[in-house]
Amino acid sequence: MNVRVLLFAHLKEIAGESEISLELDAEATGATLLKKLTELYPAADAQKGYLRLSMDGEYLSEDGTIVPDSEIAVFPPVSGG
Amino acid sequence: MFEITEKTIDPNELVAKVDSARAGAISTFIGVTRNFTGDFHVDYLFYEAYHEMAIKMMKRIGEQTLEKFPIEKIAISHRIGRVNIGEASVVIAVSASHRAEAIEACHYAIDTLKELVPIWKKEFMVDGDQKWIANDPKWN
Repeated sequence: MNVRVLLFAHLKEIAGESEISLELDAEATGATLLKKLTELYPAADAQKGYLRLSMDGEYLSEDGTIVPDSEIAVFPPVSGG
Repeated sequence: MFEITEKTIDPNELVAKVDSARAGAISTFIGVTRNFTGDFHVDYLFYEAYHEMAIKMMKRIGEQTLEKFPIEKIAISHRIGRVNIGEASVVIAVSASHRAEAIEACHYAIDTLKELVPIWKKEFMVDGDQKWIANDPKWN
């Protein structure tokens, strides 16, 4: 499946765009998506657990399954406030 | 009221939003941009948000705060874009019958916001350096 991925902050700067699309196997997990992403952008490959995932506006764990046609986002640890 | 704005936040507006005849106390938290991070001289900050998710999380924090504490109302406003030194980046207002609940709820809301809401801050230093910051110090 083809998945649209929104990028933010540090990650958006590394990729040079705010949105990318990734080709993933059906039933792919958050971990698979992060692996693809960091292969594409090795500079995004910081320490384990650095990158956060969300699906349709809810946090998604690395074990979580990517649902087709959902809105996925990947971003660094938050710093609001 | 839960909003993300590019404009200056007026804390009085949030206070007015939570005002209630039943309230005996209104507690506010104002996060303000400071000019030093350790030894580094900060010129200004820039905030970026994942807008839809950030609003969703702010509303949820509002609901959770209302469930956890006997308060009347809560309002949260977060600034995005360039924020100059001394300006408010976030304002929270909570009204309650009594002061202890208002203060505790306000404390809970800002702590939870800093942990969950997808907003990021970048520091622009006076010397020209720039750096994305994480609230959890282990990532800085």
